[in-house]
Amino acid sequence: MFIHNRLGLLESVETLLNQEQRLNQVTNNLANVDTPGFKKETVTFDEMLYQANRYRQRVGKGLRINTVHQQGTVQKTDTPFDLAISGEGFFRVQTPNGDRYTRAGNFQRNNEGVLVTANGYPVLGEGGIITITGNKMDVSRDGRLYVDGVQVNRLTVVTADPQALKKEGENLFRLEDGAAEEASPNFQILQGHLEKSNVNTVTEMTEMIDLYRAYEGQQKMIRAVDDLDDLAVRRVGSLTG
Amino acid sequence: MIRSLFSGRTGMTGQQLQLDTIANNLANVNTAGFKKSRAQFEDLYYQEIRAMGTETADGGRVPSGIQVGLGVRPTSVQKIFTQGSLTETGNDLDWAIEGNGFFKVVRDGEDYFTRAGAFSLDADGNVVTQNGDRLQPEFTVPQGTISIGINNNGLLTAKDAQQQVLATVQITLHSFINPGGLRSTGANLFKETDASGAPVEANPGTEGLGTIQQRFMEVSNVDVTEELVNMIITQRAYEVNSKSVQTADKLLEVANTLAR
Repeated sequence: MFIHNRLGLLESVETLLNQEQRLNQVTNNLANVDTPGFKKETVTFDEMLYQANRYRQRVGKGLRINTVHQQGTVQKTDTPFDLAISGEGFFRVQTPNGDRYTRAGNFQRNNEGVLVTANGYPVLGEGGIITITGNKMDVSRDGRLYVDGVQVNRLTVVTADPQALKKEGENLFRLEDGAAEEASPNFQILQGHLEKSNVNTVTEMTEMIDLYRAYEGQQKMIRAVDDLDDLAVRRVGSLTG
Repeated sequence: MIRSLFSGRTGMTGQQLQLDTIANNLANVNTAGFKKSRAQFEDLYYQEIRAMGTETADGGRVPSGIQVGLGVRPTSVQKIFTQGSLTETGNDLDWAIEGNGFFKVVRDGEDYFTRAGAFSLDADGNVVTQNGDRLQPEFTVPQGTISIGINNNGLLTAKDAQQQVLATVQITLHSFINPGGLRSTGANLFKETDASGAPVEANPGTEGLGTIQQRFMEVSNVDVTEELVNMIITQRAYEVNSKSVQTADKLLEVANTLAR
């Protein structure tokens, strides 16, 4: 059966591009090593069967990027408007483009006393926008908000199918059309704490070494294919040997 | 082109800002009434290479698409208004605020707010900050005053040698709904902005405001240990981000040596 050696070349180039994609992902994780509530992404590959030519099928790689919704470390900050979710769920935030979800609990109070994210989007509770007009805000573990000892609202903490949550930047997630949110069954709110990024630098660095070597290996493969071509051009059919 | 070169750079720039903030906090570790800051970050926009739910050739749907993040960017450098500890100085004109609130002073005809309660008297007997800005409401200490006292609720009294009260004035404090929105102008002063809301004036000890402690000074709320730990973290984060730039560079090098 005739096998075209260009297929090897094609596969190698594909792998090179995939490794570049992996580096992009690792870099983004590392750049966000200090971003509150950031969830890292991992790259996985699935096998995909292609019809390469009339005689042969080829196994290629499908690239898949998954967001890892693992709990980040929770750091004590002693700032009353810093809220961390321990366990599952997201805070619901109102933006001009609709409701969004976040785990970055570095909230502030704006000039009207509304609890907002660092970008000024209001945080939503069961009673809508949360306004704090008193002097002291306390948040219980189940999300009830007390101002000067009187309950004013309760934070909405919701979960959704992780596959349907899409990153949007600004520490926000968007829910895909058609997906539904539900109340989180299992969470605790920690006041005066902040959830840090769940990026682990050691894992990312090893990932980086790994992808670099894979990239280098593929370069060698391309050269080998090239060497074969070289031989074919110069030696095959040559009478003098 | 590899995006990592640029997203790595955003990471490095972010860590630089973090270090600048830490350095400023540490430089002000002994500044009276200083409030520390912290840099806050958010992830940048995501570039969509393949959308989620796209239909594949054989009719299936892609379960999770390919989105590449483009790095990080700073959102804010937030002032943290936690209480600094009080140290006793023995000076009659050192007033610390225990709790919320700011003193109001006037500089060049404009209102400024401060928590650095280390006041002095100028040549005319006015109560002024170390930079000569007058405390509001203005108070001129009368001739013959021997001692100046201020109680927890801000009632200032000037007495002569016979303990006769020569003059009294009520010193007020000002609070903001969002002190984090105040603009730091240097010289321990803050200025009101649209984000902070308008100042609410009241007597010390009322309406959630703190009380005044005479002969005490509020020191900076910078915690050196915390800042040093953050500095180590920042340095390492800078380092790992520089590694991603380096790796991107190496990949390009490998690609460049493909052709002989």
